[in-house]
Amino acid sequence: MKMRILIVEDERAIADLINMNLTRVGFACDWAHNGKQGADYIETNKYDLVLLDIMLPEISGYELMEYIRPMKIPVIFITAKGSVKDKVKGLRMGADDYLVKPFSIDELIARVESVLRRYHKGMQVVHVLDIQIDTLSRTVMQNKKIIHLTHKEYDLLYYLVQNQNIALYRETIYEKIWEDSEYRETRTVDLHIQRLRKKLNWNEYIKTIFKIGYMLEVKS
Amino acid sequence: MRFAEKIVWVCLITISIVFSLGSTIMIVRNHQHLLDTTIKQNIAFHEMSIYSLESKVFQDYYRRDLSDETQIQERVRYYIKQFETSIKSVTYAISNTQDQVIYSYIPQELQTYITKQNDQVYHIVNKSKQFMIMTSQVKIGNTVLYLTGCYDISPCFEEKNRQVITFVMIDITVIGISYFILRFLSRYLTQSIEKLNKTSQRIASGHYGERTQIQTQDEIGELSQSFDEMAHMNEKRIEELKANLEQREEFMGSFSHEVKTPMTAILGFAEMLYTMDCDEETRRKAARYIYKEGKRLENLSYTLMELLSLGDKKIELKTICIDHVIQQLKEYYQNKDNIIFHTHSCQVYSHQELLFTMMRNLIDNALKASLHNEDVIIETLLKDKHLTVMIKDQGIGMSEENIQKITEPFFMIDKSRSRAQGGAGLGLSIVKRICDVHQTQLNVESQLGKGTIISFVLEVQNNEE
Repeated sequence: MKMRILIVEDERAIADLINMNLTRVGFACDWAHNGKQGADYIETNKYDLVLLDIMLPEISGYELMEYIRPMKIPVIFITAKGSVKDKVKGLRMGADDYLVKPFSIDELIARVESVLRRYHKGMQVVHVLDIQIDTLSRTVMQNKKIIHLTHKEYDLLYYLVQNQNIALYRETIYEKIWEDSEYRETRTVDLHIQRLRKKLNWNEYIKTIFKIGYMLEVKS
Repeated sequence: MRFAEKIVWVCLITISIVFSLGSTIMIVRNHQHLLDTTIKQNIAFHEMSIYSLESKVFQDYYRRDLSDETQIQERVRYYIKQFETSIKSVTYAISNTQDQVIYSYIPQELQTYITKQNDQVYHIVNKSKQFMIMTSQVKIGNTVLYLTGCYDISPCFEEKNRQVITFVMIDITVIGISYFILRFLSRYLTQSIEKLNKTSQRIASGHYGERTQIQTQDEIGELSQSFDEMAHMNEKRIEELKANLEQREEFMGSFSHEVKTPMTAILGFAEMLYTMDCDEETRRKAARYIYKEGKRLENLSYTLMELLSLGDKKIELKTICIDHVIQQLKEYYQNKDNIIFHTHSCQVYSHQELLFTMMRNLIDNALKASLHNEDVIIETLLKDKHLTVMIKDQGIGMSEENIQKITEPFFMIDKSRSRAQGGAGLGLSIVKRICDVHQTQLNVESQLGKGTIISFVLEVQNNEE
């Protein structure tokens, strides 16, 4: 079953950005464009996580937070206010994390997953095709056997799993995994992809996309 | 030492010095006077005694025929004894021409003063008593004797001592009473200083609203008044600074929100496009958002520049013809057919560009509020050298509480609609700044659903009708 996330954000552009990316990673998202609607949604539906903007018209994020807190739903604040004072206030009020605008998509996904992992133990193990990835111990199991992967191979695999069914550029993959935007050693990416295919026997799943890069295809 | 105590001690020292000096002079003069009188009295008494002795002995000398010197001496001794018994403060001694003491009642230690020198006055201190000794010649027939009288003048000195004791007692009492009166008075006089001090301490500890409120007509009253004025100015200034800081913080908060929101969208969607091979629909959507949010940033930067440029420089107003501004507006809105101008032609004290900007912003707002292209009327009203400019619309109107906030930077009544119309919530902030330059106020009358009338007043110069 998919995790459900509520986005309370008055800016349509930001809401759409979060929505599109979280949906892509495999969450179900609802969007409330003000505090009142947010409260209504929380009352009628069951959510695993709320992404809450602080500067909302009428009912502010802090006020809505007071309403959400007794329900024990994890909350991540999204705000332009990045001062330590504001962060502390948010966290004191019971928020689980704090996302300051402008944020990158990777940061958003990482924080969402980290909060969910804390609340739901099941989140720490990801099932994809015939493997299980334990995100805490960073181990990969296939047919009840541990597959030994190097750090970079693990990171690459996890990145592909996160972005399954999406064609990823070689350069981007390199930037993300090797955290280096100066030298785009795409050959390194090719090499690691080959190693992964061999170790997991995933030749048919990790596809080479012409002129672009690679894609992990998971047919539902 | 406290100031009140200082006053007390200074006064006390002055009082005791003056009082002691006066009393001392008085006592000394009194004593001198008394002594002189006593001496004169004693001299007179002595002379009288001599005279009476001479006449008495002389009578006896003739009546009883005292030829013998010893007999005369006997009579003298007899009369002197009589004198001594009648007056207690006198003792006598008689000596002859050979310096032999014939008779003496004078105490032993004063015997040396018995001489035959005539009319000599001695003043001798003996033990704790004072005596005055005087010798005169007594002549009876051929017999010459010397009578020495010793007068006790101690009461004269006792009187002085008594006066000194009385003076010391009075002095102590006066100083004691003065001390308490001075203490009370100086407390009373310095209590305003105390109050001033307490007030300034309270102000120093952050209670800026504190005042002395001392209303006396003296220097302390004046000082307190100046102090209160100073405190008032300081309080005002501090409040201004606080308000300023709050405003600035609020502005920065809103500003960062306004900038960071489109930035997040632009960066996020760009990252999506850059990282992965998205489908056609997603790509178009992302591109549209990037364009829209970029436009919003551009808009914001222009408006912000306009606002900031108003804040920096000193703007000089001059006489302009309002017709030029109206003409400029008509050209600007030539595509809009729902704007109606009913304006006077006159010279006003203003600034052409700023007046245009202000009216353009107000008309833009009126147009935005008129969702169904209702008429927007620009009217002027001329009265007593003042020109009231009104912008009337029949749009959606505003609630009372929103009217209070409309000039705050980044305030938008309906965020999503303003966004859609390309607003950033800065228009009326600019208008307010321009109003400040003109030293006029923005009057807003509005009713929800009925429309809004916004007006401001300009000063008319050399009106030519």
